[in-house]
Amino acid sequence: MSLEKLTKLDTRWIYLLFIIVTVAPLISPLGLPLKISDDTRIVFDTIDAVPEGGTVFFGSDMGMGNRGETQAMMVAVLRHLFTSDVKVISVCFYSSDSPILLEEAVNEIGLANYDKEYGVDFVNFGFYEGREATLVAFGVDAHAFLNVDYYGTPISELSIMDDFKGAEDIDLVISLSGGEIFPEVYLRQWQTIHGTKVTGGAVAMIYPMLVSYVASGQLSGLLASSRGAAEYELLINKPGSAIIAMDSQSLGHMVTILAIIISNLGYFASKRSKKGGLDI
Amino acid sequence: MGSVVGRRLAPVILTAIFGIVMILNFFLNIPALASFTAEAQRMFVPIVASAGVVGGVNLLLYHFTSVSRRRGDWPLSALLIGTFFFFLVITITPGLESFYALMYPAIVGRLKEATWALISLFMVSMAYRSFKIRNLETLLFTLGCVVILFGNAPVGEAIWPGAGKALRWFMDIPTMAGMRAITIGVGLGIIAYGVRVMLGYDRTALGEFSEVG
Repeated sequence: MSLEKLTKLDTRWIYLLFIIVTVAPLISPLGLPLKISDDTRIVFDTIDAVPEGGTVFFGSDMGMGNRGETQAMMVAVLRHLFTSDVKVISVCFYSSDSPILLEEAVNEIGLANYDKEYGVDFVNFGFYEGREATLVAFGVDAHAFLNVDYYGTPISELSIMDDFKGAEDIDLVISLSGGEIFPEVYLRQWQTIHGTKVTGGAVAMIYPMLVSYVASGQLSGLLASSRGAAEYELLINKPGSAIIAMDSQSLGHMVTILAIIISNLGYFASKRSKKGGLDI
Repeated sequence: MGSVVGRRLAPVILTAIFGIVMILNFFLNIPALASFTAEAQRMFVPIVASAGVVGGVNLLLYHFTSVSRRRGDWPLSALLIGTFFFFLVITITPGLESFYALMYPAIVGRLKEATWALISLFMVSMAYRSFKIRNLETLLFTLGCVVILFGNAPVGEAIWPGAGKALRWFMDIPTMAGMRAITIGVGLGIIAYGVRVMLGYDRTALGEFSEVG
């Protein structure tokens, strides 16, 4: 067969191969080894270092579309938070999908399994429109900004909010970002003004946009997409869906590299043949 | 004439006042400025919510017109109107919260996930069709992609132990340099745009698309 034909493959064959290699490991995992990166370890250590009784702001800034990449990350980080003696306050500034995803994650984990109580150790305030400006307003005075939580409970009935005023009282912000570079917003509006420590995670698409903040020390580590989630599951010793997905991701990446190689073999063969060279 | 001046000048003056107060509040510690800024930021939430209502009404008007005039893909417009009212009713009707919590992830959530997942197929197809090494630039681009794909996959490190280090180098040096340049450029651009808006040179935000100066 002429290698030139490699440039004219029906892409549906590539789709089929890609689907097979990504679905098969979900059914029968290969158990490929996974090395924990420094960035993931820094996120873990940063969360571990929150003082007892401290307050963590959990920014669930993701949408339903990237649930496959971010939901496991959210579950793993929340599990870690609930094993610690910290209060977790969540307001979503990115999408109306976010509180639903947060609720799903909390239901999956089960507050009771960690001896935590809603309204005392954790609260979900749902989604507030207005993005950066809303986030600033919350940071200045949360009580002037929020009236009820996601389920309509008045803020006065949530004891977790008794001693909480705004960003000044936050020991750590965890921003898990789906479609926009949300951790950057917390750096800009809370860290710059109130000195708030920020860590988080992001989907693969926006991870490169945030690496410079990790290098500068403004972001205390960063979870990189589902791989970061899988590493985090290993660190907290609670293997979950992200670890299972890693084999699938590995093989998917290999098929993509194979597609690049095949395409270039065909391309160089066709170039050579146009120049009058021999068909290989 | 007066109304034209008012219509054009008033928004520019208001923008300038709010903008300057916000900037001053960032740099100065004056309680009066802080309280004005906090109030302005709280006012922003109902303004954005009102904009959402205006957007919804505009969307409906457009699609009602499409259906009534049987324009192009009018059945899709009809579907949009139906979906709009379906979700509006189950969102605002008391007692239907659990139904909403069931329907939204089941319909909108799954559609969004499917769309996102389809990107992976397009990515692999694009890699096959586009990543051809035609010159030095495409060679570097393709190498970068291979390093990222190899380094991010756990199997990559199993095949070549240096894959993780190569990825780290790629992220820490060329990617970071590029991103810093973009971030600084965007920052400077935002400052320039902000100054132009506050001085009234750029009125695109007011619906005027021709440049004044």
